[in-house]
Amino acid sequence: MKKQLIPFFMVFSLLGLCPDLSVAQVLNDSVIRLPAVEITDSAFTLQNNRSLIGKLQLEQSPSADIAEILGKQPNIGGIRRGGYAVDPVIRGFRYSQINIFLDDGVHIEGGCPNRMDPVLSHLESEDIERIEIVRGPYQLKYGPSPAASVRVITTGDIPYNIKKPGIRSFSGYDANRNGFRQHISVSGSGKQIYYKVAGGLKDYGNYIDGNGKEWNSAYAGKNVAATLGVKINAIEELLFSYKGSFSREVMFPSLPMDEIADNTNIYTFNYKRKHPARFGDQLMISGFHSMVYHEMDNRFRPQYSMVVEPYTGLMQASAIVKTRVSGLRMDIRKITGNIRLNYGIDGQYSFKDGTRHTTMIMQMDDQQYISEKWTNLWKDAAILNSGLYAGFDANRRKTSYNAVIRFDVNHSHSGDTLVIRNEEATWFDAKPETKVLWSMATMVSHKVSEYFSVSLGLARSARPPDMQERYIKFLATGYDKYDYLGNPGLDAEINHQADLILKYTRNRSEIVLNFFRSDVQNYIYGILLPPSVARPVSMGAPGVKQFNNIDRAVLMGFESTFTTNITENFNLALSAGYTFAYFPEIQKILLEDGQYNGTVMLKNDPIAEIPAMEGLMKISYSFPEIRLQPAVEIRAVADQHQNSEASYESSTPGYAIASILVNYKPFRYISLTAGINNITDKGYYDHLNRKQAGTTGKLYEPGRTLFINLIITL
Amino acid sequence: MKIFRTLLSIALTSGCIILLNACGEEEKPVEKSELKLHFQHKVDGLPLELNQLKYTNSAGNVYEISEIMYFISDLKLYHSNGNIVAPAGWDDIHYVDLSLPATLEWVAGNDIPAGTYDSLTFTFGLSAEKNQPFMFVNPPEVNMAWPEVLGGGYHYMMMNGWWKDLGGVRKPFNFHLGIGQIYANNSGDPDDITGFIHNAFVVNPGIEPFTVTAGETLNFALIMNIESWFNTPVVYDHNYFGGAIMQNQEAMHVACLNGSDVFSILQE
Repeated sequence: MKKQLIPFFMVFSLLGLCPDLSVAQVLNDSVIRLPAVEITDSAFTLQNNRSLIGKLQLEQSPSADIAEILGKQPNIGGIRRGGYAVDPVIRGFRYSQINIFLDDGVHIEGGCPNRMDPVLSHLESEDIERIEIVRGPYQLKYGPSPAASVRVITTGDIPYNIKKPGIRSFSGYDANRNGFRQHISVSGSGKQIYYKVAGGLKDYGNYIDGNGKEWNSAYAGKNVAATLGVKINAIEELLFSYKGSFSREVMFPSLPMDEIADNTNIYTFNYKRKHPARFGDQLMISGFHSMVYHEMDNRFRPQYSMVVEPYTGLMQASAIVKTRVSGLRMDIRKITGNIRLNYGIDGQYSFKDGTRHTTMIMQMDDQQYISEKWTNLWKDAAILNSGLYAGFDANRRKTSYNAVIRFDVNHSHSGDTLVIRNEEATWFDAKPETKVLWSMATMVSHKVSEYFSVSLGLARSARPPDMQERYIKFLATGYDKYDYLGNPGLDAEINHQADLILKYTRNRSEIVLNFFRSDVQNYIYGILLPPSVARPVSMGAPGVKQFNNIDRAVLMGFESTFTTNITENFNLALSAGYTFAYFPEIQKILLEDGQYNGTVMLKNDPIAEIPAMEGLMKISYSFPEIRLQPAVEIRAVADQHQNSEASYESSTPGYAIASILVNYKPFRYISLTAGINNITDKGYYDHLNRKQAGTTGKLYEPGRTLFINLIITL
Repeated sequence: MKIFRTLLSIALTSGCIILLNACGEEEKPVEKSELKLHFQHKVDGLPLELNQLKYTNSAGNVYEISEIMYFISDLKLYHSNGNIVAPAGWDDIHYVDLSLPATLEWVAGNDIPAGTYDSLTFTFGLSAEKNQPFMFVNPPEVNMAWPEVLGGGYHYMMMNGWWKDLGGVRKPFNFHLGIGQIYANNSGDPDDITGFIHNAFVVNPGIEPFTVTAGETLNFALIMNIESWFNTPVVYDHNYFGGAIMQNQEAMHVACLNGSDVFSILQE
């Protein structure tokens, strides 16, 4: 019992509430302040409790997975299915509840229905300038944003007129995975032209957890990127870019298949015209086209090539999915007095098509029989979303306001011919649907005193169902092993959210507390279908769940950060976050010996797969004379006992891990970061980690690892 | 510091509220009538003894049974008022496997209208409409797959065992029922298949009228009398049909005729 309580107390300690820590304040900038963070955004996201991850933080991370880096932020967790492509969860929201995009609204539709390739997995951290995370539906400019948004900025302000070409090399090594990554970029500019060409590769082996177990989690890939900027004249700029990412043989021990190939190509253009006289007034027209080819199969699983009991034949499965997203946007910014206006229109067309091929090879009566089946995962499924948005922000004395409103027309259709109908109901019929949606967000901040400010945010957002929720056909896409069936007739999820942000800043110390509550109507959730309506198609799936709207879900919690400089060079940062989420009413399927035995309604049942309370402490000390900065990081996660009874979810024990890193910059051109993650080699797993395929045991996190990142800039 | 204390209080209070909210409540299920079938397997009125070469059929074959797996589906209850009730609305297919005790009991329905019922029927195997390939993907049901080239779908039954042939040699038999094939010139070559025959059949095990009362669980023993597969109404001779009958429609047809009186039922 005592052991169980240790992580819990550590979390509270990290909240910054321990007396010995609370008296330690004062002095310079905190260690988690990011260098060279440039705020270029409009009225829409200012004043919110936004987390920023800068290039330095990305480059000092041992991980090549962007979502793992995001997980260091309070109240952000990740769903781990393998060694790569962790799927972020922010305040308990996930998948398309989080709007993840690049730059000015470039969206990518992942190919894999099992989410082997969530959006961030298509991007390379070395290509990123910074990441902005907005908790809550306050960033409506870039699409209907139900719960949170992650903006990945790959191109900052273009530096024209730098005559000497710059070369930058990043090399990273991870000892646990025996992994290596290398990225090189060359950039240069003249008076009117800017160019940047970059490319990289990565090759990571299996990782070993703290118990010494090796997980089949290797991955490899290559990437290229090119940017061309043209300064047409003093007020006009044009930018073209291309990014390509090509993953190969990415292993997912918690999924029934592995990723064999994933090719991503992203093309963008961006035209900006600034007002010659009025600084801040700007017209921007941008567009993009992204394409994903995703191929997966079970060739690395034993049942592909040998009979594995209790099967009596070979079971082979593969799938190929292709996606395309095209978008256009016109955005206008204006400043009138102390009011900043921003309005525009956008349109986005998403397309998805995929096929699964299943083969069963059996030996019967001394003869070999091969049975094959091709089924659609998606059949020419498409969503066209057209949006109109407008917002402003203004300051008056000690109070600032901002508000934004967005309207969307969302049209979906599919080439599916599947119809599931019985005497009682029509369960699946892919008829075209058109929805008109509106979202609105506002935030008011008031400076109560010299040190203390309060912000109140209120928002109503509508999220249309995504491609998966509408049209997926029989694949395990959720946290459980059930096959999921889309529902073309789903209603949009409506989130009513309130945020209360308290900020206290004094003498270079800062405490920020953000309390939130989301009341989600029409929450989209999988409901078990009777086998007489639909039976699973994926091996290992015990049944089929169909996406449906649940009347109501409530998510609430907080994030807190405390940053201070104890001495001039001694920095301390603490952060913590927690979400409690529940369905006021949810149906539970009763099972007896694995057989259906009725249903029961549960009240206030926790939502499944919500991260446990977690806290992070980071202490660093700078030695400016020798350009050395060591740091210690402790992450503590409490037990998670808030388990969904309806989903038969089980508890997860808490843990605490420590890591150290040293940043050393011996010369102007070289920066070296080295460290050890999980020093004590603890064997642990997060509540969100998926179970290993075919077992009830969860996927463990990597054990102790030594990492070295070397950056050379010429 | 006063403000700091205020913040601290807010954080702790919020935490407490969140934790207090955490307890789920469960509503009690409503009273319901449940039907449970318990599967039994007998030879000549006695419980089957596996792997004992001690049974003799009407054709004089001495035989033993080593394993039995089969599907029953489309269970129907015939109400005295004329209504037909399909109690297994959730899952209307049940798999029975002698080696898996959990499959020997089927909660065939849990919301059965009260009243008097005259009879009960089910389909042995899977109807043509239901018997779709790749319908099952997990063991044990997936192992019942019937080769695509022979008609696809699933075996209705696999009953495996041994018999002594005319020379006294112990030979294996795979008494497998499923979709039958029509071969050009009776060649038995899958390339010569010209059509398929769905052999699934409806069984009326001859139940006495019974009454369902609200809140009651009805337990029935559904007994497979194995000897009937070989004895009535047609005498089935292993020496004539051989050990493997998946591609022998004549043998499967005889088996299906015999299957109509294989089952009996008793209220427990």
